Amino acid sequence: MNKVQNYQEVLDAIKEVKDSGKGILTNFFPDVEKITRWINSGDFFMSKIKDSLFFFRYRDDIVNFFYFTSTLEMLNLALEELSTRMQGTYLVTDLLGKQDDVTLLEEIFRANKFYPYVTLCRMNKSSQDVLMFVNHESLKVAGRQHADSIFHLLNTYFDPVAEQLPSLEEILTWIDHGDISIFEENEEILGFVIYNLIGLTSYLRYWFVHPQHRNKKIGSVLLNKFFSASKEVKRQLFWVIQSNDNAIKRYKHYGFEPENLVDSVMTNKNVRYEAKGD
Amino acid sequence: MKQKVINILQEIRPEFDFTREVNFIDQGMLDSFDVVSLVSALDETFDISIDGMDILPENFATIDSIVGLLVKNGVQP
Repeated sequence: MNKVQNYQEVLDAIKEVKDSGKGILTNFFPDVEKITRWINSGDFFMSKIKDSLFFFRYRDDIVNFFYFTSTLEMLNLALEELSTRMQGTYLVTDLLGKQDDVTLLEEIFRANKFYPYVTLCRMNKSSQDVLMFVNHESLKVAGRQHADSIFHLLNTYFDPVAEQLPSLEEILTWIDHGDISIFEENEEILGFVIYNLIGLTSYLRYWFVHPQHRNKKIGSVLLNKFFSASKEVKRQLFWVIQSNDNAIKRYKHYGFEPENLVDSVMTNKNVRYEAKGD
Repeated sequence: MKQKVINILQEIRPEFDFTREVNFIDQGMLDSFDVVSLVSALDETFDISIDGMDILPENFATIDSIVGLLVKNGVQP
């Protein structure tokens, strides 16, 4: 396994694998900014196994990995060796795509000692409702001084396997872009919402209310902030745990609909996601 | 060919107008997941296999760039 030194190495490796086979099968969608951040922090590695390419992002005791190969058969061969080579390392990967395609991939991974951890589905909302945004004195745009608290809350209350939680640096970037709003009282963050606006689409990344402060309409204030910020966009997106019927029902109430796009999180530990509350 | 591409895009993301001359990626009309769906639909419709190296956002930013990609993959303009 080699530590990746620059983004060009990633592109060159992909080209080499692509040139050696026909077709593509991957869960690696290069985002230059994000990959460069991982490279600069020294957490990004790659390895070529039997004409398939694997990328690894190390974070604490978890290693998220991505594959780039040509066919299911090639993936199967490479995974067999990967699971042997990296026995003892906590590997996590996201199988993305339409449900039928992901089911096929899951079979390959199961055959190579991986287990389903949780499945998420993407929901979207394309209609624009008339918003009744009511500001609240405790609602404010997060500043850099809030970054550590937000980072701590994310790492305390969100599942690091189901979610590829952001680094402190990423949180600071979002704060600089004005993408995080908090609900703060007595200098304590009771909840926050993190979203990204990209042209005509907005992505709801995280929506959180501290467990001790739920059922106080804080979540509603925060979600309304997201809706208000998204009023110029045509599509609002986010991922939700597929089995969380209550959350899905609530989101449907706000006009969201599930897409036929799923993210099956697989790990090489036979453990399942346990909800920490929504 | 252009119209076929527009139709495919319209099927993937019906809420957007892909006849507008804007950058689909910068405008958030297509993201990486949509690109995967688009590649799959283009492969199927035009009976090609788009090169993995070409699955970069800039190649799907406009109708012209998508058409260019199809031509590169052997589709007759």
